[in-house]
Amino acid sequence: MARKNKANGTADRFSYGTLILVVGFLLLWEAGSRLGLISRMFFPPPSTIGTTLVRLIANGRLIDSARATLNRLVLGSLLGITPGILLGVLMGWSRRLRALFDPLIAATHPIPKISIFPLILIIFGIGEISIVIVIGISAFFPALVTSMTGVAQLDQVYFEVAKNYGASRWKTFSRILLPGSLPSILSGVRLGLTTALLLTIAVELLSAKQGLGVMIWFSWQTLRVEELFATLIAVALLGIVINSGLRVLFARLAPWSPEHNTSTSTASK
Amino acid sequence: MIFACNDLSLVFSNPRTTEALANVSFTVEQNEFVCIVGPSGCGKTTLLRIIAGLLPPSRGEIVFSGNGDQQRPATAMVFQQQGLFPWMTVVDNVAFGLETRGVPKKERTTLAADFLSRVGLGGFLSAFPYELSGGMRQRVAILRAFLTDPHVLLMDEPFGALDAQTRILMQQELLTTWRDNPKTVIYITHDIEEAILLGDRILVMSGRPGTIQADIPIDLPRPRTLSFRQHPQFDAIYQQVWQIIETEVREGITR
Repeated sequence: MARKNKANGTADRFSYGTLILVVGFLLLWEAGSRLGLISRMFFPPPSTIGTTLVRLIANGRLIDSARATLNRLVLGSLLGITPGILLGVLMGWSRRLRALFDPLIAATHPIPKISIFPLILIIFGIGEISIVIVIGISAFFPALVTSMTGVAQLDQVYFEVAKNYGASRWKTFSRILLPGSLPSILSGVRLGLTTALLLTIAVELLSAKQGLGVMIWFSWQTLRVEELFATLIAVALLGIVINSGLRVLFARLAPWSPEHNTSTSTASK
Repeated sequence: MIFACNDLSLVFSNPRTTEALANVSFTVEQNEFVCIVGPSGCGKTTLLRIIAGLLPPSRGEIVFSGNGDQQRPATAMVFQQQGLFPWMTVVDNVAFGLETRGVPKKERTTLAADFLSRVGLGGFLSAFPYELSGGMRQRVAILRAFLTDPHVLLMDEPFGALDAQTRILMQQELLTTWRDNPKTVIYITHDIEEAILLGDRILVMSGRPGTIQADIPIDLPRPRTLSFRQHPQFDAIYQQVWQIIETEVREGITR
């Protein structure tokens, strides 16, 4: 049926209501903390957190930590997402490959990846390599599953059109299968990155010398709560920047696929 | 003769043995517009898919009288919907049939753009299908099939999903395009009126298993416009077709 033109991409709409809500919450917090209604020790006023954030940026600690975190994130993601998508596309394409690997994936996918970190430490030793590997493993699965599903669920009609027009195997792959599943592949990238960020911070809490996770853990241990909050803000910003950066990138790469409209198989038969 | 179906049969064996088509034979002349009419489930789409090479028949064969030009594909099919690739612009979609034949990009894009401009779609060359209405999408899909220049053009209820008013305009445009680019067409529909409007000939099918019940020539003058319904022959043909399929349509709604 006629799919009406949907607005291109931009899912987040700015709303004054939300802004008022946030500002109101921060004001309440500020007042409550200053007046001693809530514990200043556990919930320092937002203004203090803000100045701490500025200080941490100015003295370079936050930047250095963020850089360390970002390095691991990017390295681990590349290591995991690349093979995840390659295998995912192949498994989506070939029923035989899917039958071969699917049971393995189904068995290993549900394992919380943080739980195999000690095992990886035993094999690869304590250090950056083990950290990057566990991040890679965590990003591998969502990238694989999402891209596999996208390829497998591509509407058969497109392949029939291609076949009817005499498209070669390579044309069918490069002009139908790849672009047709690109939206799913891209959501695989995004899911992989989101999971990788989660694991990066988690592993840093456990075992790392530098990074945003380390700062969070360290500020908790030394009870510098305003630094804890400031670092949390930095982590949140990192997540937001990654997500919106990817959104812009995806709108460029797949302009035909408005963000929440990735399904191309709406035909009722 | 440009192409012939000789004694086509198709049997599906899973889960139960079902005979979808039985002994379908007919021939089609060069640049003839043949409509296949039948109730839903009579196997007309299946027949078209066999002709398109998407489905092998259990028995029988399809013969294209090769008039030497091997460059041109045997068939090009216009699907009911979803036939356009959402990831290609309109002009790339239309040029796709040439692309698979190895026509260089510049050449095929120019050809496709010209073709689109001639029917007033020149402003949508770089639009994506989701930006078009259902009717425009089908126009583009039909142009793609014409531009591919197949020996036989296959259409599977291309206007079936459109509203009645749009359909009238689309039928007129199809007839104009066909007049300007003569082509052999096999057109499937369940709409008797549409078949009489478009076709040189109507093949009436009935189902379970699908067989051709009648082969009715339509000698109404062209160009045919909406007033063709006033032609005395229109009612006669309509009644003739309806009588053949009526029993089956009735069964379809009462069981």
